[in-house]
Amino acid sequence: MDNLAQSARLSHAASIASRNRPVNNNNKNHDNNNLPPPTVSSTLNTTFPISKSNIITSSSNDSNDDDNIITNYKPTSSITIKNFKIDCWKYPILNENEIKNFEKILNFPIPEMIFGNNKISISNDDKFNISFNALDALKLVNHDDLIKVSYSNDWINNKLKNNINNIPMNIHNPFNWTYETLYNGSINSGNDWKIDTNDSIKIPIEKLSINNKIKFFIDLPLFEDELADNGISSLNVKIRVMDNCLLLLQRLFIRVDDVLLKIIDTRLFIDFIDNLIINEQKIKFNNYKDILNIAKLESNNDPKKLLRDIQWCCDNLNLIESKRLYMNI
Amino acid sequence: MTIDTAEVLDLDRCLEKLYAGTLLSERVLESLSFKAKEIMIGYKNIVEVSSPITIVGDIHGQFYDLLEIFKIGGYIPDTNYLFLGDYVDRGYHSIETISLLIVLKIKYPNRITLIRGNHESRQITTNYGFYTECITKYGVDSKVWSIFTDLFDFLVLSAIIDNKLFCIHGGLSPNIQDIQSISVIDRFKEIPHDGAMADLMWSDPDVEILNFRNSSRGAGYQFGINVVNKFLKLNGFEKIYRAHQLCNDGYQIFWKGKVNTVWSAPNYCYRCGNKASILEIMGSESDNFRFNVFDASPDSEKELIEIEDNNNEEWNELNNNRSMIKKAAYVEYFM
Repeated sequence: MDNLAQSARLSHAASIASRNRPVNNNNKNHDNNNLPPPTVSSTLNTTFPISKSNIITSSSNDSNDDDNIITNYKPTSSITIKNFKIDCWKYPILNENEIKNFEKILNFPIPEMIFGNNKISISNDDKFNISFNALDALKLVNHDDLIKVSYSNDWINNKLKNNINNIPMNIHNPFNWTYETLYNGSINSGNDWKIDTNDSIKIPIEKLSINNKIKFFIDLPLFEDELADNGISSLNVKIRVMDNCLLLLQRLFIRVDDVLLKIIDTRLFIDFIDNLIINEQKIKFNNYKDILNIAKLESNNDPKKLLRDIQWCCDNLNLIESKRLYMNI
Repeated sequence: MTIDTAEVLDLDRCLEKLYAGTLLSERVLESLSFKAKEIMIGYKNIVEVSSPITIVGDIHGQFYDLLEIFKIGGYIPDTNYLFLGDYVDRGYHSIETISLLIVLKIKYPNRITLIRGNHESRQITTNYGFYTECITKYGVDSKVWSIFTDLFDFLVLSAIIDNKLFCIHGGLSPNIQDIQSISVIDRFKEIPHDGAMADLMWSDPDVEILNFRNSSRGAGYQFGINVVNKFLKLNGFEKIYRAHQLCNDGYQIFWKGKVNTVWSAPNYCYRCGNKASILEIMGSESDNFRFNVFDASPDSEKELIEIEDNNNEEWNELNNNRSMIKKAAYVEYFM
């Protein structure tokens, strides 16, 4: 188990390093000293990925696909405050035909529970539009470094010893079955993000206190997969809109039993008064054994219950990366 | 939640309690488990049953939807049932669900057949909720989880209806050519990660492939049409019925009906919005069946809201009336 956890950890670090693909000059001379030091291992490249490429834009992406799939559905709830319009689509999981369409676009098996018609869209006239949906999130799944379930080595070794049917041992069309994605929204108009290089832009917690009354709230699943009972991968997005601002949280939670836990949180904050938009992403990670040990300190009887509690995991996993983008419109 | 304190085994009383959503005492569960093992130990790995019979797929602790199934499909013993496994985990009422099925099994052993699913396992139930439900409802010192998981080892692996419909929880295995190889499995044990017994409960059909394929996860199989054709022909079967995979319409038909998924947990995990079905096989003629599709029981949704606010005792006290709970608009000051 130790070795497996360790190798999962290393391959995780490698996968993070491999994502460092700066796409433009803004990224030069950037050194993210303000972030907590990465805790994974020395193999982790400490300059964090500031690529904006994980924001899908309509120009870099064939958005016609999406249109074909989603236009049949109307928003199920909406609100307009100041110049910002928030539309939400909340529907059941996709049916067989819709799943086929998704798989044609994505070319890999999609999550078992796929809420492909769910979406949150936020727009300000023609100046700005961002949306969060499952299809775009899945387009950004990284298939480079694939992890295996905890008992995979035993399984494969047994097969090698006893392969009566000569089933090929290579995996046909391998894909990232944990659906790890750095997706942080699909930008359709207004893509003038700046990178917060010196930690000067913060999401203002005081505006998000309980005194600032919520006018609109919705919590939507985008996808969920139980990894064939080897854990869970779930992507969820929720939004709360107040009189003067909004906060959106998209959370990807991955638990591969006996291997690792990971959370990728994307927060979008919009201040309606000074038209400031912040897009922040934080990645949290621990190997399974370490986080289970922490859980045992709190619950000796049933520590695995805590590993199903996403909020508990979020409070206890190590922060290993974070980045913040902002723009004024 | 109430737990009945009866100490003697009275099956009618147990049924009455369970249909009303009351849990049985640990003592009673222990005797029930003993009785059920006595019945099931005599079964072969493959049981043979006849139509008319109704096939039920995954339930996953959605007890109120199980009650809905009896409402639309008929109650035992008036209707014969074949359950394809995955009774526990994920839903909030795994104990009620498995308790009711076990009592029915003891009272009407020839009217209900229970196949083992991959969740009827010690390891899986510690990860997906059943263990937690047991110690939450019966206390950390109770043996309820062991009572049930020991019983799971006795569940059968597959069933054959009218000598031609092959029924399992998951799918086919490269280790199983003819059904003789199922008969020789020693099933009285925890589900292994590997081998024929595991594959029966874990594997999935895939229309994109012809033969067996290793899963991307590094363990487990998908199987294709050639595998299905060969298996059906060799064993003289017409069709395969299985569960194990969620489908939005409540059922899914592969290869013109050679393989079929029956999914019986509507609005799965209280959020998928999917339909569910039971498969009613009225007679042995090939076309004498129908998927009876249904939606979530109205009670299911209420139970979710109740559970979500479970941590807030004040809220629970205020809202003993379930209809009031539904009206409260839910907002969350998340950060």
